[in-house]
Amino acid sequence: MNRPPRSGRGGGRTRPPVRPPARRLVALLAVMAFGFSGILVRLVVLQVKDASALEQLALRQRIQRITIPAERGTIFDRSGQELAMSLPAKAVYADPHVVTDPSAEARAIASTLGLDETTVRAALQERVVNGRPVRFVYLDRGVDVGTAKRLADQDLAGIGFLAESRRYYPAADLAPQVLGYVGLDGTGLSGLELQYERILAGTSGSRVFQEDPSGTLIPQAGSVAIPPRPGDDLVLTIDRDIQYRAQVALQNAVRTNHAKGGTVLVMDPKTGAVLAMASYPWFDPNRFDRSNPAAQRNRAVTDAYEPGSVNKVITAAAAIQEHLFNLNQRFTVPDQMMVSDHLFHDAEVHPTEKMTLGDIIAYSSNIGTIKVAALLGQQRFASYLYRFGFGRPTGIDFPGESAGILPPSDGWWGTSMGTIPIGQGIAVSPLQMSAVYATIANGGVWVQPHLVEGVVGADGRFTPVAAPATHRVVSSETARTVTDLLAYGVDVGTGKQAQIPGFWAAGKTGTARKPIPGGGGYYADRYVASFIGFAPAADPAVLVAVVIDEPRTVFGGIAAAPAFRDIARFALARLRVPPAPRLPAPPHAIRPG
Amino acid sequence: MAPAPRGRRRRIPFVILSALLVSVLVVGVVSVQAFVAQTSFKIQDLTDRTQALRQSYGDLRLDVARLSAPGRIAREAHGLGMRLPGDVQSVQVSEPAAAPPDPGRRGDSFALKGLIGEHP
Repeated sequence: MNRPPRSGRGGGRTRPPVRPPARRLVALLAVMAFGFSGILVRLVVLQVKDASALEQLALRQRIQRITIPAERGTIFDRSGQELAMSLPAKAVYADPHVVTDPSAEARAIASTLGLDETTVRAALQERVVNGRPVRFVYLDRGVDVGTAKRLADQDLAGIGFLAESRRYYPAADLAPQVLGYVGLDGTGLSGLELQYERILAGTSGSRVFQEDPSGTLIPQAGSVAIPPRPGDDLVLTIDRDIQYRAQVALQNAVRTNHAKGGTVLVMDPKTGAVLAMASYPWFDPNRFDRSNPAAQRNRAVTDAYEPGSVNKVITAAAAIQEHLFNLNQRFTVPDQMMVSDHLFHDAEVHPTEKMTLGDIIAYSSNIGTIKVAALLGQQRFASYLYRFGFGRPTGIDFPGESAGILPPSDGWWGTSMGTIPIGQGIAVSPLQMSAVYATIANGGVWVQPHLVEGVVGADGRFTPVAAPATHRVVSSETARTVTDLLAYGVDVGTGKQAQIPGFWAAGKTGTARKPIPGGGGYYADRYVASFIGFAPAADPAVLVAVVIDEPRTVFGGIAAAPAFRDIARFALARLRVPPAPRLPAPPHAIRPG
Repeated sequence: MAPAPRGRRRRIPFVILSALLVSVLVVGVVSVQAFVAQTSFKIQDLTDRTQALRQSYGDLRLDVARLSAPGRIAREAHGLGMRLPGDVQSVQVSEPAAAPPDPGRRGDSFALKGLIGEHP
């Protein structure tokens, strides 16, 4: 077989021989076609069929969303001092599955956060719950940012941080029952924190950004931030200094009298603004989880008690308002008297005396008061109790207010006209009773007590709350006369220890027996002693109620009146009320010699 | 060696120009990207600083509130030996009888006007 000649240098050009496609080329083509078909199919699967799911997966891997908690509003006292405030904080958590050395990490975490090492080590141990490994465990909440940063700098495996905020009560146990507290998640759980949750909480924001698998921010991808809307601030009617002084005086009164507890309330009788409110024992809201739940109750608002003799002011006001008798009229008052089937008696044994209404109030005569109430009649007397606010909540802006217990007048017992005029057989909250005295101090007009003066929005604008509800209960003349009687009681009667040097105070003592829970009468040896009064009597600026629970000295004039004096004197100075001379005693208030 | 064909010689400036243009564009895009990244990190830094300052402001506010709390002040004062006031006496100062006005004498404040003028 002859081969075609090769073209050589200088040789003529020759066309390469055309050869039929080789088999392997065809095979290669087939393989390539198959390969490309596979790629095409895969592309279709990725780009069409699974496109949406893969896109979501990619976004989930890249996109991070961080919730930015809203800063809870601050609670200020009436002069702008912080009583409760929030600061950014961190929650520290662990993923036990990722933790590499539980013992070493527990040691580092415990020393940085001040936690128990054993507890932390136990939390870091891998475990399975309900067949699934635990991947999230809180190690600590509300850690301040600086401490959290110190821990983050140690770069411990499996330890993470979440943004949150922490509530602080800088004055610790000042007005704790009024302020209440918030839970670990920043939600108000009691007190004003609960009542004004919607205003204080604000709205959380968020920040969306992209990061690579190593967690590094991808700056070119941009980010979207929805800023949180901080909660509004509350401005209370509480005065921090008066509150402190009231708590000190209450604590002293409880300890001096070896009492079980006590409640104090200071109020501006003209506006219904509560200047101080506390119950002893109290607690530190910064560590509310370690406190006794009973100490967390704001007993001035949520608890009802039988008020005792402080209730006599209603009997007196009703009698004066109804012009039942001349104020110079003298009642024949023995030291005991039968009402229905029960024998009532005065606190002290005394011969039958002739007493004016002023004397009856000043010396807190039970029998005299029952006689005056009898002149009023059951229905009329009950209507005054209702008009003074008994049997229903005052409507103060505080959760869980007690309405007290006032049985309907058609359901009273035969002895009710003996017990109720002297403050037994009914129950009221200290706030309700204070509102009665505020009505007298305010010229006969009942004013709804309130704790919040206004709200400060994010723009810094102060919006006052709606004006408190008011209604007239007795005439201003009646209120003036009752004030005279109450001032006379402080001058010469059971309230002598409530006298304030330089001021003319008016008020009434109370000593009430404590009922046995569930019925069955009263304890023989358990009393509630109280004093409620206001000053200056001529132009009242401050009202103080002191209630002492189970004091060793049962009389309100001894157990509670000195605390009234201390608190009222301080409050008058704080409110810059100048001393005023004592007015002469009313002519009708003269005890027979 | 055979000389380059004329067409190839013509293409050389075009290739150089294109290469230059592409280089400039690449450098430009890279610079812009670097600038964006740098700015983004700067924003992040400033945000962090703002947050740190805000945190510091909050901490200081808390410190002030704690330090000015009446209970703390009372404890400090007690430690220094101070006591809460006991009984406070109030003295009523009777208002002195007003002297009849002397039309020829002007008050001290008016006397000052001679020195400082009527409308200082």
